[in-house]
Amino acid sequence: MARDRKSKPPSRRRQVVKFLVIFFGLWAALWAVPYVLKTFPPGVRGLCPITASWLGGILSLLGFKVNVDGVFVSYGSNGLSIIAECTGYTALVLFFSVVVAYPSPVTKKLLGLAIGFPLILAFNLFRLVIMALVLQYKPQYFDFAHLYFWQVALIIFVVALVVFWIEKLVGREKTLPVSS
Amino acid sequence: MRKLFLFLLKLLMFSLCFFVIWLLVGEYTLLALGYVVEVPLKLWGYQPTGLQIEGKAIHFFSALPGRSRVCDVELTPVGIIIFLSLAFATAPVRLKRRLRSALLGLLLLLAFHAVYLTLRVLLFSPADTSQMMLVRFLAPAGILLPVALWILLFPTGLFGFGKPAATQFRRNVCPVCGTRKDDVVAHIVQAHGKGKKGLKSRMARRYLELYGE
Repeated sequence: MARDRKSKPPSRRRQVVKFLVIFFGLWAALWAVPYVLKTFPPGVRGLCPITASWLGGILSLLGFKVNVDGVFVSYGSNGLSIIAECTGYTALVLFFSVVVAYPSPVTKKLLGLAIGFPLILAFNLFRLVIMALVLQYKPQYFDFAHLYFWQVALIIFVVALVVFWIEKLVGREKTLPVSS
Repeated sequence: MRKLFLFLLKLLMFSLCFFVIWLLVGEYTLLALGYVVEVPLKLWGYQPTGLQIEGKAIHFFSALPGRSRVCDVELTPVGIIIFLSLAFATAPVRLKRRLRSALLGLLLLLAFHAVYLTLRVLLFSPADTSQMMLVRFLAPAGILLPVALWILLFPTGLFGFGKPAATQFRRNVCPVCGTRKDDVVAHIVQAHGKGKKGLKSRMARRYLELYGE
């Protein structure tokens, strides 16, 4: 049966190329913001003291004597300064770019972002707590944990989250019962 | 759910494996990368006199006074581990194709890091110049690039999820309404149209991918 070009469904290659263009465009635009402004946007900077206070709260629950001063958290004999990169900004930008670029309905994108953002922030907080503990008890491993292990873990977490969103929320349509 | 669980399990296992491998051979990889970077540095008149691996950094020495540079390269292993883990966790891909794509991706990643390090050494300035801004802007691409390369070289990875399984489709059954028809494509156009509820629907597209027109 002859069909016109317009009615052809988009090929996978076209879908992938379109996805990559939007993905890179969004990521570059969002990542460029701090460099154009020469500082992180107020929202991200505002997240630093909030993250610091959350970290302080959890560390005090773990039995440490904690003092939070703006973005600086001191506990035990150590201290951590929460900068913009520590808030999970890179992971949030990556997740946002993938979700927006992936071919899916707007409602599912919004749902994905609403679920994904808090989960990324929670995972990032977990990362900070573990790093604070490493710094306290095994300081020789801090650089390794900070620069290698948790970078890999955070990105793999974002990929896992994206795949979960696609598989479970964007999802597959139900199979229809066969009738004649 | 099984597909998702298997993917995540494999991703975790492979990332741990590559992490351990990196701990064993990482220094040599950085050394090789440093030697590659020395070539463009020589071409641009940097006059390199040697290099040294110092933990997570490469120290480039130059004959020019005050131009020796230490560059942190922590994003190189991060990128390689992420990309290779994703490449090997993706299913189903034939082994030959998987290896070819993984090698291509690895070379592209290393090329990116070589360019990035060259720029960092050549454009370094203690002041916050626009050149340094460019270099700093490129840095996080070391994290993004492995994911982008995985999507580009293994489209079955991300785009394989969320698709109805092939077993859900039968050649002579309409994927939209489930009616048994001899010419399914003609039926879709006639009964459901060419739009998003018909020929462009997710189920119809998947059907066409499997059986063609």
